[in-house]
Amino acid sequence: MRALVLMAFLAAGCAAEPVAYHSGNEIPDGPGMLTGEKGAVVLNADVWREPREDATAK
Amino acid sequence: MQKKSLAALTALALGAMAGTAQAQAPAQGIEVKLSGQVNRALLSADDGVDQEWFNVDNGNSSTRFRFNAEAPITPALRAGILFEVEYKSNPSSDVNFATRSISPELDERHMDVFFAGPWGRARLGQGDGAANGASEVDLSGTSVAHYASTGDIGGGFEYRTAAGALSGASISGTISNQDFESRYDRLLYQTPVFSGFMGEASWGHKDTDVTDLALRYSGKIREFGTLAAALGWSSEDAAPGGIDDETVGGSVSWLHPSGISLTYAHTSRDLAGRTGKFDYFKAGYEVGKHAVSVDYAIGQDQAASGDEAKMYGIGYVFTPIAWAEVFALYKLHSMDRPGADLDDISFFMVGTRVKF
Repeated sequence: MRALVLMAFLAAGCAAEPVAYHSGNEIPDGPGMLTGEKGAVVLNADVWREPREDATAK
Repeated sequence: MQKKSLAALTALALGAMAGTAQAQAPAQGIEVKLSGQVNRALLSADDGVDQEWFNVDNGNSSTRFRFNAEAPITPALRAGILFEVEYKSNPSSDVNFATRSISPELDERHMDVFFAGPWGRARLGQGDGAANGASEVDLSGTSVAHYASTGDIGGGFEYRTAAGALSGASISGTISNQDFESRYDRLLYQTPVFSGFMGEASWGHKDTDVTDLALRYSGKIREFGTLAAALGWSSEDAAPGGIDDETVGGSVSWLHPSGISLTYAHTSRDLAGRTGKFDYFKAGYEVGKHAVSVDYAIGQDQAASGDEAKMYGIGYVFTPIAWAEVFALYKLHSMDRPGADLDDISFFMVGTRVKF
């Protein structure tokens, strides 16, 4: 069996383009029912760092 | 620069875990994601004496949620966290006729910190050992219904003797895929990907020290299709009076552009006075929103010398919309043990996994 897998490795390594493997037993990639196309609730620093305008400067 | 890096990492951790960083986050590009899934099913089990329906959490891919965050520390270094827990009410791997209801508990899956750069990725904390999943590579598209870890559905059931008594030989104990050391508290290193290949090594401990090694591959070869494979080795140091728990094996899966797939897995594990062996074969076909597959597994000498446990299954997955799958499974387990006449156990399961 190990020889079989090694042969598969070697054959594949010759001319393949790498692709990411995603296990079907993990949370699927792609959209979510509540989270839409992003598939996750996404927060980022830009949201956190909304400019704080100094009212007294106006 | 060190102060800046430390500040960014601190903000990442505090902001992600407590959600209170808000306007104070000093680093650029911090991204925090919350995602999860619910995976429930109805499971019928028939061991020749009893037949019951169970309302279960599908152990092939349990109900869980994930919280992860990632941010640049320097142009060449990123850091992040992964926090993932599962919450299983009546796990399909544990229920049986004596225990039909099992209260859910929040169980750890991943709680780690990582750093990534051109040199690869290092992870510290609770999470996958390097070889975890190396016997479970599967491109059939039906893993949510059935895959190499056959005990995830019905693993808690025991075979009955011809007289109707429970034998003590359970499905999970006799036909495990022996998937290395699963998850534990470890330090993990992953190499960069070279032409589809990636190496991994981890060291950590459970009650004793654990070491894992793995080589993984995934690539697409034009008309040939997609190929994914993994080889793994793990060793858990012996407890006093025992032997080192050493496992070696791997899996390979091929998906042809026509939708036909073939999968094979093998593991071999050192046990006291014997070697537990596992082999798994799967053939599948996927077209559009439908995927169907048949599989066969055999476990030898896992619970006792001379044991031979077999499983035949057929699974189907329908994906009507990107965030939901409906699945069905039928499988039959049989067991040969010298000097014992044990009844077969059959299962039928139907359910759905919804990503939220």
